[in-house]
Amino acid sequence: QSTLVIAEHNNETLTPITLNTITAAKRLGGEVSCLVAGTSCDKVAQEVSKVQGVAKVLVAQHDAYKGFLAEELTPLVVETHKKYNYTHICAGASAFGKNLIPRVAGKLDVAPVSDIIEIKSPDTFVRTMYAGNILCTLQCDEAIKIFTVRGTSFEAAPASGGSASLEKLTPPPPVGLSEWIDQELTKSDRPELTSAKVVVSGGRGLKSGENFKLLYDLADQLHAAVGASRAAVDAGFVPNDLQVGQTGKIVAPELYIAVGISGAIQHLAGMKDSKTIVAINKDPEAPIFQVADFGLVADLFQAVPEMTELLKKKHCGSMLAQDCWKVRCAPEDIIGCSWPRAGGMASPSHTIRAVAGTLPSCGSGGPSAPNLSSISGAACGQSMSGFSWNTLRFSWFLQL
Amino acid sequence: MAPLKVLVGVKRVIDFAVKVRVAPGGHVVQEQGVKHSLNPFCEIALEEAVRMRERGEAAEVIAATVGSRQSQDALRTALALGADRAVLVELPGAGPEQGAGPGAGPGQGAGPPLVAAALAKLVEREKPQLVLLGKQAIDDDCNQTGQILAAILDWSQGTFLSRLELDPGSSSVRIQREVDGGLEQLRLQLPTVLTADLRLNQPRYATLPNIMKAKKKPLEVQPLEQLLGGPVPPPRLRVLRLEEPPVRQGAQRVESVPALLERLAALGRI
Repeated sequence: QSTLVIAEHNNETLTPITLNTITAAKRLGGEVSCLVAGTSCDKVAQEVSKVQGVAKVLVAQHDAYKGFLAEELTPLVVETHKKYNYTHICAGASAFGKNLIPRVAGKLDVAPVSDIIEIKSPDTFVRTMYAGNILCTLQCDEAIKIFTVRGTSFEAAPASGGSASLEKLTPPPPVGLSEWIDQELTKSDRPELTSAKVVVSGGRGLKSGENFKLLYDLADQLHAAVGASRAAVDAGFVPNDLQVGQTGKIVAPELYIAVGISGAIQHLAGMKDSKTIVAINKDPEAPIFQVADFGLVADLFQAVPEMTELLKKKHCGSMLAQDCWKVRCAPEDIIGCSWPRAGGMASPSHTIRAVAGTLPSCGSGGPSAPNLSSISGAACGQSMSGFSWNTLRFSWFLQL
Repeated sequence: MAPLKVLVGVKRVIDFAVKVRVAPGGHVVQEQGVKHSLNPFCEIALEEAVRMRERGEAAEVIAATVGSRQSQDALRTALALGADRAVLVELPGAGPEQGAGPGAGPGQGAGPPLVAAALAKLVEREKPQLVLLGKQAIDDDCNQTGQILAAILDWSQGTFLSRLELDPGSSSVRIQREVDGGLEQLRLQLPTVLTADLRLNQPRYATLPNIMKAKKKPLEVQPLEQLLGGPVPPPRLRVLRLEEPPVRQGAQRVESVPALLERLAALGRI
């Protein structure tokens, strides 16, 4: 028994879903090999060779792999399979894997299995149907099992500690049926949507693309990725790569905050495995409330900015508690969680920026973690009587 | 370039708004008395083909499906939406609402490999230069048929299509497709298989006169065995069990933003 994982990458770095796919492959038992094909992928091959659980990395380099076209990659996968006779071939259920894997299966005359969420045994898998409303356990009677793996259903394999052998493959001749021209990728400094711990998503309720700024501001406070419902993407508020749902991305973060999203079945399919779901919607009848752990019936245009402000103050509050900052809590001076929270020492630039805000302190917490509800806007800038506890210990900060 | 002949694969599925239930026995879903519609992605694929014909880029639009006799509904809808003629490739044994026939995939009816094999035979017969499909059916959510068909035919493939332009005077199309990071542009040699994503177009509604006209358009029924020229292969994926996932507990209402944050902080989520 042996499994071939087709690595997804951009010639620079490995796409995270490949690590989840490797975990699924390991669960099958048997040796796991990884195929890295690209125009210049030595770096990625090195990266994959360090992933725990990968025994062998097969590297194929050719200009024909520009754009990772399924037409070009399929003969390579088929050739590789002929050489090594795998029992399983898989890739992540991403745009890349969904495009490639069924073509490979078609060439090998095998029925592929899409988007598996669980492996019961080497031939028995669980997948979802009907927008996640039905779980299907199925047995695959093919000699080769070919499937795609839902990334959120399997842990990422550790990216270090492995030492796979590397082997160069001779690419089969180019097919030439298709040509990659160019791409427009959305650039973002935020965490990647499918692997973020927190996701803030907006729907039609946001009313415009500009209003998504409210969500970006909130996301900055939570170190969150931003997603969207199909309605918001269709309305042109945000680009397609933000879509969460049956046909968009599947996410399962620790915290999912749905803002102005009604909760169509196809959206729920993309997020209902999130650990905690919060819904903010002014319509108390919105179906999203049926899957949410916490529902807030409110106007998002008030609730979201309020949440952002409170979180800014919370960050300030935790700094007061943990790092004993003695600074004025002007939220606009404080950027998210970039402050040192453990260890207590800030870089000089942080200190100067903090002190520039000057006294008096905000919040009314003590040395314990601040009580959120007590840190309201009114508390900010109030007397510093509650903060004598730290004044002495850290007064030197103020001398800068 | 002469106008193209376009084959559009369509599928009849349980309507997206229906709450799907597992039928007793746990192997199929409840189909009886449940509203069915044309798969939304198939509607988008069909719309694109019809627009091509309206622009003079396509000469003929043929809608085809592989399914039970019931799937004629989907084809009549396709005809009302602008297809010129339709072909039903009928599954053996899959009588009215009988559920899975031979060659069943992970859902009900024929699975993607069998549908692709049947469509490949239709392509051989009809010789279209372009096959348009939806990127996935919203029942089995497989997202495979177009890719398998392209593999069988050895054609280029354009999945998750969001824009389609014919290159004038050449034998290729320029497409835009939706990928995880954004959009990408490809040039594909004709003939090609394309699968429609959500934002390719906004499908039209069938008007009453067009629904009436559709009743007179040709709808051919061909048994699957006849088209394949041999027996229908047995299914290679066997459904062991269908079940409904555990239901999430409904929302606890919180009254204010501070109260919400307090609850999330208590759970350690923020």
